[in-house]
Amino acid sequence: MGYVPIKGGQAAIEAAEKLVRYFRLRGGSAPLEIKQIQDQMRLAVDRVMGEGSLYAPFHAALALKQAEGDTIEASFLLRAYRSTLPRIGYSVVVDTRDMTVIRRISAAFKDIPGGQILGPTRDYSLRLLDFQLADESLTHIREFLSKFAPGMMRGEKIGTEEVPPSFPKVVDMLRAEGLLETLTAGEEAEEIIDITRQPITFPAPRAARLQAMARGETGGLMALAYSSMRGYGNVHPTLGELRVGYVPLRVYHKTRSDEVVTVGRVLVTEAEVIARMDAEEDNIPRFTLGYGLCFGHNEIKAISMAVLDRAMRTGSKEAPAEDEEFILYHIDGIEASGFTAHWKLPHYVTFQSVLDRLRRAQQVARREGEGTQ
Amino acid sequence: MSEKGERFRTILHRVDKGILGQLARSVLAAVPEIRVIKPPQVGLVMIRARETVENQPFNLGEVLVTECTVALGEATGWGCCLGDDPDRAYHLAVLDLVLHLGVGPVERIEAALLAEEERILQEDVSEFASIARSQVQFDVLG
Repeated sequence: MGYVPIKGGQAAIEAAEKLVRYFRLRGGSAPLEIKQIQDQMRLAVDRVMGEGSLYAPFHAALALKQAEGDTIEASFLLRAYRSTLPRIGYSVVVDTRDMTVIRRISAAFKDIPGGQILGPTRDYSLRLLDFQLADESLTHIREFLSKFAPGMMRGEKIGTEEVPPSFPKVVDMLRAEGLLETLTAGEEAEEIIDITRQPITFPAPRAARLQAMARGETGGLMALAYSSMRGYGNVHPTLGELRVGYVPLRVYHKTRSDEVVTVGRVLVTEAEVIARMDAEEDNIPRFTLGYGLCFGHNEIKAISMAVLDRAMRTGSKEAPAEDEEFILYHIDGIEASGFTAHWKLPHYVTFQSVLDRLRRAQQVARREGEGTQ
Repeated sequence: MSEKGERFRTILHRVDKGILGQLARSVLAAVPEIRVIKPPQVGLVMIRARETVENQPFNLGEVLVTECTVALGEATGWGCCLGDDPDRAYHLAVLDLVLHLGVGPVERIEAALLAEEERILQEDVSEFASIARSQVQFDVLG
């Protein structure tokens, strides 16, 4: 059978697009406001910003509305939007020690300077459906807010409380005691690779690995990190520190380049995992580290990233999680979902060719079968 | 103005939108020669962070911002803010210009910014007070 070009389906595609809208709206409920999504679906918004690799809470919330809550589709929309925008420049390098912390814990030490601050977490709550939420009203919300944060709600001066401190890092303490691998003394890659501009080559520079994971899909990172935690590889992580908070976005002034301007604050999650001991050149064993940092409040992603970072630093490729090529090529949600979804497109010609070969092979096999009888 | 300028450049991003608008309008009324040379436009800033294992900087991801450039004579003022917010970027550019040149109602602007600095501090103190309630107090058993 020859190659048959076909066209058509335009009317069906247009009707399908209208159906998408119809299925979103046919329940007759009030339209979702973008601010509602930003405020009350904040973790979904954060996830979409991280995986779309664009910090833009309003746009991420809009994408979630458009995608009917599908975070991968929403991050695709966000990344597509990003590709239409000009790059203004690079920020001043953020030091996460400057973070305004809203949550900060260590699983390694009970007593850490500054203390363990749980912040907004469900870690210690029972996973019971809260049916009261079904009847939540504006009155309930106002009542709660006025009790929880009375000063903030009325803009009162509080006066005596503490100015938000910046917290010392647990890894800095361990490093000061000589328990951690030593820092590569300030050696910086002169040009920091940017994988949105240059393709990744292997072995990948550390900056490329971290950038790829920071924009990776949470579920993909988690599955691969979980394989390592379960024993495919040899990382038994201890969470040295997990912190969530705001870091300043600072840039050099456009026309007076000796001045630094703070543009805003960006919410990030950072994880540092302490893993197995390794001896360095001096034969003294020390702990090794893995590092994770991502947009928004997304602890599973930051921890998974840190575990994979450590796994990839082993240098062996015995387990999937240790093989950077395997990891970095499979964690991007947009690439992976795009490839998976493309199987839905017509493959009529390729399949026809496979079908022809199968029929020919069947004929040959039957003929040979008859010949041997 | 450099020390004060740095202080203002650190807080301007959190100044209340209404107050920022008022200040910028008062500047434009006093110095109508200020002109826009690059209207507000959305763009991307790649945010870089330093990791703590090898102390290497890397590109974390891009941030959506709006930037705007204004001028008075040869001098320029630049404003840049988070998100798609043309008014804010324009107002920031206007304030950046007059704070740099020291023209227009600078004293009034500085007083308003110092008041905002105090408000922002109180907001942070209050927010941290609510966060600090979740600090763990360990009781050692036995």
